[in-house]
Amino acid sequence: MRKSRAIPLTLLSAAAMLSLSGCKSKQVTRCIDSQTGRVVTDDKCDHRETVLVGPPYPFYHWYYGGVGFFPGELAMQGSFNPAQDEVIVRASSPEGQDVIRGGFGHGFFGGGGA
Amino acid sequence: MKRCTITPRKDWREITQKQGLTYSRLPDGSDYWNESAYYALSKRDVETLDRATERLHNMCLAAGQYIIDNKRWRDLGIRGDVAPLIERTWIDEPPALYGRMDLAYNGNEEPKLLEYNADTPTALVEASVIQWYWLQDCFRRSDQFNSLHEKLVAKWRDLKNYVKAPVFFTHCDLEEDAMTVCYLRQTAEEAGIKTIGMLMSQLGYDAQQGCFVGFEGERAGTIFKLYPWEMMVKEMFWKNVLERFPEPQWIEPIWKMMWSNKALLAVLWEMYPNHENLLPAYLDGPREMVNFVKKPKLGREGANVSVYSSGIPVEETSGAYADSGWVYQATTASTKIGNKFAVIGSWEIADQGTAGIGIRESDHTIVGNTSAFVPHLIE
Repeated sequence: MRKSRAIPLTLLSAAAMLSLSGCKSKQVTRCIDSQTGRVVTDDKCDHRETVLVGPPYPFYHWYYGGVGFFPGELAMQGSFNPAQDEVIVRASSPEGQDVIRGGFGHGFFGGGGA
Repeated sequence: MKRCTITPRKDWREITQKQGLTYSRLPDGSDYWNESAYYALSKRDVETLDRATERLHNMCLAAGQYIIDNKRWRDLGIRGDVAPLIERTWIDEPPALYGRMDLAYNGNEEPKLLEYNADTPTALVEASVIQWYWLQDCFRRSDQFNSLHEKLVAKWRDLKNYVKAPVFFTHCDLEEDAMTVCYLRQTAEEAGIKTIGMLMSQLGYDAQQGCFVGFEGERAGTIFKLYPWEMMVKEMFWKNVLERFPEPQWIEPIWKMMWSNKALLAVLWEMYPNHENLLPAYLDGPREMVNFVKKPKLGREGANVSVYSSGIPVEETSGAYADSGWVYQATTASTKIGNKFAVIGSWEIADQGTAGIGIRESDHTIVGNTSAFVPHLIE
């Protein structure tokens, strides 16, 4: 039985709001080869104009959300357009760091059980 | 315990969404939240569920030690590189938060354990928050078996000097999971603990520092993950967990793999045969049972479950968990309440005890991911 106070409504409203905005996570982006769907190094997108030089004209795009983060991996379940009002971060390591991402989170698609 | 029908609040959908239930619409188009009915429990029902949950929790503690002492890793499908971490965390007791036992109970006999969602339980927001405000609107003078919010905050207060803030809260990219984690972050923040939220796939590993990191490369000392250990041990960062163990603190700790595995049901029956809160359960087949449920050791949301009557399958669900091995558990009439089949989700907050219930119901024997959540009150 509930023995003490009620839950503050402000907390609940904040939680609902957060679910729709601030509490949502930042969106990860990486550069992909749009012909193969595979992740390539960021410099391909940073200097996109330099790659349109000859057949087969691979074209590189930033790809947002979904799974597949490392060069060579297939990126999917994401979008070519960033979500509105979300902070975009790159999957690749910041300069001077040796950070990799995407090592967890590929095999489970939710549902509270076990 | 009885099921009563009632006229829903006119604007219930808008109300519940504002309160946090932003995932009420199910894939089949039906509503997850159903307030056209409620369950009425007596004080004796509540005491019975409370007592059974505590008793079962203590039995699960004993079962954890039994699994370790007898090295039952093969029965649980746990690899040799994982078992030492389970043993170490079982002894060291790093922070743990919560779990949800699913019980069969209709008031006619003792509650029976169907499974223990000890690693990644959801259906939390509706149990803690949504049904509480339904009670305030519809039955203000009644009470509810629900102290989830207070006990979660109290638990975080207990953990405040043990966790390494900011605590990272990670989850899959699903609305329900995001909202569950969002609510848990709120309870931690209410206890004065700073938090950061991110997707599990966004968690970084800094090889130079040898630690898991956030968006800005900041070290993650404590990570709450609404993401199952049985998946983590198959993924790329598992080797980094092994290398850096016991850092960071993972909530829930990896020893929860022993409880979140339905092989636990067979271990419990082996330890406590004919216990009034257990159903016969085996790993090697149904043995003498002709009325039983075959379910995957690592299944979720009622997936890959087959119901047998007189030895013949009469109902089954599909899913993606058929490769984890099976548990055979006797069926029970205790899920039948009126014309519905209901499962009681009984919440246990670590060191705080039983914290209330949520009820999901179905027209079918198998209560799964399209089963509605129905509020309750105490008469």
